[in-house]
Amino acid sequence: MTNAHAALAPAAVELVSVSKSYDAVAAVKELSFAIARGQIFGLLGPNGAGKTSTLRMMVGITMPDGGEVRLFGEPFDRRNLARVGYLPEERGLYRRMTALANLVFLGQLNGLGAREARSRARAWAERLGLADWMERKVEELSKGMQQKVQFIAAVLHEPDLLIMDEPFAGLDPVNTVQLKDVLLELKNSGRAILFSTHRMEQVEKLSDAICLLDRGRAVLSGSLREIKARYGKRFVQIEYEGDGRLLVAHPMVESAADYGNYAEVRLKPGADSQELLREIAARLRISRFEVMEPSLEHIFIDAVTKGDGNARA
Amino acid sequence: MATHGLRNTWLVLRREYLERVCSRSFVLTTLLMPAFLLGTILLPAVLSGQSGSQARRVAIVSPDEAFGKSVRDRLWLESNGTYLGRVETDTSAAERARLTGELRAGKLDAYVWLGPEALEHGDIGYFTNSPSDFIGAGLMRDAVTYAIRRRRLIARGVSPEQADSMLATVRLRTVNVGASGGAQSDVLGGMIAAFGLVFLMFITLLSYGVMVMRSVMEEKGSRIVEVLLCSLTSNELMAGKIIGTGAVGLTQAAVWTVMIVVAMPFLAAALHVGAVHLATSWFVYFAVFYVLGFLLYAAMFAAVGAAFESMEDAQQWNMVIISPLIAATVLMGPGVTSPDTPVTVAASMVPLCSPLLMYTRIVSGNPPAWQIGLSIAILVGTIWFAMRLCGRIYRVGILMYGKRVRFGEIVKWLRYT
Repeated sequence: MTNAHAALAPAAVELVSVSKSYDAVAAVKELSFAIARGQIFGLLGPNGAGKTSTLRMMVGITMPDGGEVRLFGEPFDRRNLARVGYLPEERGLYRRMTALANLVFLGQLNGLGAREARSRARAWAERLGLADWMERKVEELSKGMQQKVQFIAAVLHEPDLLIMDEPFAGLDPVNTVQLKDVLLELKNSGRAILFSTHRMEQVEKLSDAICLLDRGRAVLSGSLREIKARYGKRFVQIEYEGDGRLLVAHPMVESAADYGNYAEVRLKPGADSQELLREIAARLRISRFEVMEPSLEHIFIDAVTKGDGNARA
Repeated sequence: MATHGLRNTWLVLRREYLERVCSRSFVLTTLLMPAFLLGTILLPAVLSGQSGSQARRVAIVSPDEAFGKSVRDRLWLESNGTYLGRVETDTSAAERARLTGELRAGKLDAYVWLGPEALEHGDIGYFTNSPSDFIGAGLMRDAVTYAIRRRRLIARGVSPEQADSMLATVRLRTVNVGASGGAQSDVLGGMIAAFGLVFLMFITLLSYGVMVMRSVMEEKGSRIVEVLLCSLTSNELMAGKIIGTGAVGLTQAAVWTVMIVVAMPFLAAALHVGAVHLATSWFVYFAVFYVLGFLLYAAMFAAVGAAFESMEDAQQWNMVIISPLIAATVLMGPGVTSPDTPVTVAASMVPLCSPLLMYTRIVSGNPPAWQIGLSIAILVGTIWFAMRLCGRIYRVGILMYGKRVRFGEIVKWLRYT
């Protein structure tokens, strides 16, 4: 799907100022974001930030106390859930049923006929290397295989919106690559994909846009490229010999993580990295000095700790 | 939307039903349980039946040979020819010792001592080698009583023919017209059948109610509930689960009922009771009260299964739920023997007890139609209320992981929107 096409179509899902509380605890506060078709969207946040609560409202397991979840440009309607695939964080299948029977049952619940569900399940199993395990009971399958079955269950009915909670958790490197390939393929066929995680690497590699949640609020959201650009090239990795304490104490440095002969430094706004290099080169032996875009992890920690500071102030 | 929801409920129901009915444990319990029950009922009957059909050798010791013969003939008649008596006229101590020896050696099963002093004081010794020979003792008592009365009548000038006609016993044919509409039915057999059906109701309600709870716990524990709830509502899921599991119970009860009907004549014969007529209405009411009772209990069990994560945590609530059922079983016995006492009538209106108690009254008496109707109406109203209440607990509970739930929290769930 082209970007032009995506821009014309309504967002696959849109949250408009959504709030949800459990008893006195506000799990999600006035959260808004939208995911376009053909987009991979990363929902980030530390544990307890409200990620799962948000996802549950998107798939109709719970209803928001305030605000609105719009699916495919329409007000929330359970009928549209047939176009949504959901992979919850806590994986669940009927352990005493075969993998195939599980998939057919879940496929039928999503509107497929039994025969159609069966043939699609077999095709997916073939592709993910599970073909020989389809007639086995789920309890006989390894954890990784069960995860794959669960993934197939989420995509069997060819949803236009795929919502996944920690999809890479527990996958070995080979399966991680396999899942990544499948996700990219789904994205390229115009599907909107949202995944939540607290692990940054995958989001960084895969996502087009992100929303960073902290204690129920979006502290950062938008396209990944823009966010990184906004943070600027203020991160420097330095490998050195000598007394690293001067790095930490340097007036141009906002913060630094010093490991003895390696340091990650964040410059103050407006500081010139070349000037820093000149000054420290006189007193330290520098073997590497690299100015970088901030990693998502940096942004994440930065945004969350800043939020902390604001909350205390 | 409605048809969509119905389809979802149907899919859940079908999975629940097929998974269970096709399971090995279902097939085994369905087949083995009646075999086990039949065994426990029939084996003693068969065993005692065998000893009963065997001829029993009895000695009747009386100095008056005619009197002895009269006892012997009566005994033979009363026991349908199984007690074969021989009359001895020697009442010496040596003879007594000899007979005791024969008893001990197993050459004789019993003897009765009808010496002159014994008859005078009405204190008659019956000696047997079996401690549980109460049937023999009863038969002997009747036979001796008969012979003494006959002799006294004759002594007062009544002719032997007249005496016989005066002492003739009538044959009583018991006909239960209540339940079977005039068809012949043995009262004892009917009572056993009624007990059997009520017991079947109790077992099925309890075991399949608990099964709903286990099944809910399993879905909550395996977290599949979260996948399911993306495709259907908690009400659709709960409805499918309850109906599906209930249908399994109904299937099992139906299989057992067919087995009982087929086995009934053999059972009746083995238990020495007459033909038992099982009214069709009994089975119709079984289905009605099972379905209603199950809906009520299953709703509560589903709520408990959703609120807790382990059987241990749910245990105390389990007890709370089944206590009305247990209370109903206490009233079941009086309900069968006297189905229309005020207490039984009142208890058969209490919704948590009525599936068992109203059914008990139906199979053992003739409750007025309005009472049956009222009981059903109260039950249906309670089900409606329980479904709404338990549906709310279920909806919140199935998504609550990782902490022990207290009663106060459950009450709070009821207010969630």
